[in-house]
Amino acid sequence: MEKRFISNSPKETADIAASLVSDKTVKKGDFVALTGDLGAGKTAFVRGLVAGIFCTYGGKDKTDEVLSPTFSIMNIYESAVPVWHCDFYRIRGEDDLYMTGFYDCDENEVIVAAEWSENIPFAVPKSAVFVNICGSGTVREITVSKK
Amino acid sequence: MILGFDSAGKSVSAAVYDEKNNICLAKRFNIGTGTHSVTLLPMIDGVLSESSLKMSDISLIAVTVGPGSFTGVRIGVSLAKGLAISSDIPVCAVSSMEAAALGVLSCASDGDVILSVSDARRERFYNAAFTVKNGSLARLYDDCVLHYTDICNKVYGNVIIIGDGAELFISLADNARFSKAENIFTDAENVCKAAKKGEKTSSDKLLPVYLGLSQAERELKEKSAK
Repeated sequence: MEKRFISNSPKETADIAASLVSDKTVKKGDFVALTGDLGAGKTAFVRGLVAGIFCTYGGKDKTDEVLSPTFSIMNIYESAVPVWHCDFYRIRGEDDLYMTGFYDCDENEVIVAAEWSENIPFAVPKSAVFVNICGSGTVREITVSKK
Repeated sequence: MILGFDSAGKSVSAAVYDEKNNICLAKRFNIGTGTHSVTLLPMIDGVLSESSLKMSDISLIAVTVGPGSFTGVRIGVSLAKGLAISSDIPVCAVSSMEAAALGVLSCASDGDVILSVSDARRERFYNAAFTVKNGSLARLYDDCVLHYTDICNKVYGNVIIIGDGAELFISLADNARFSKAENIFTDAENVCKAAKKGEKTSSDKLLPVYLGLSQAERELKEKSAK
């Protein structure tokens, strides 16, 4: 499966992400591997995923809590489907990943949205949803693929 | 009196154990909430009040120090350190694998092999094996993390599997010589029992067992080696 979208703003990027939750492209138990340059809109995308969970499944709206996990490495948004928002830029291997507490998540009960998952190829499941965001200015092309 | 607790795996438990009379005075167990940091301290309060004891009546704190969940191990070890420092009580570090294995000892026979397993993800398990000798556990190898196929090649004979990874391990290994223990989860009473024979130490010597080094520790080691 591959889907392509064009976004003209962070809000449109978030709306595209929310639509992927409502059409079940992204669902509980999924690992979303995000790639894109600094400022591409990866955090805006995750904000959209969290908003989509609230619209689709109800529960608490955690959209405003979504922040870049660059320094914290992992932010957890306890919505109807918990989202583990991770940035693995500083992770160098198996032991580092363990030390983040990443393995304490129940992978079947959450959605993992991971930036820099290329640093932990051993932990990316074959069923992962790959999201690449590229472009310049205000226009972004978002490619979503899944095996 | 020993106060023991475990939060290194999927379950969380606390117990007060009278080591002179070998009686568990009170215990609590919980699984499935996933909030050990919230559950553990009220559990300890509960077992102390049920046994009409105060922290000043406790002579030893026993805690599972891993291997297991990173967050869970930290919760248990930090709490043990905090309680031990404030009440000036020694501590005893207990292997979570050994504490789990003790749970099946009463229904095992001499010569049986007990394998403790906890899920370390991607078909790997924290594990240790023990044999039963004169009604006690004799360790066959140190706690380690291995792929399930390597564990299968490491333990022989009919093996009783215990620990919160037991169901997953048996589903993967799919071998008739492995049987699952009736209750696979660690009980804090067994943490206390393990501590009876364990080494007492001061709280500052109590360390978590992760079976791996953090980036900072690794870099320090590399630097020191140069």
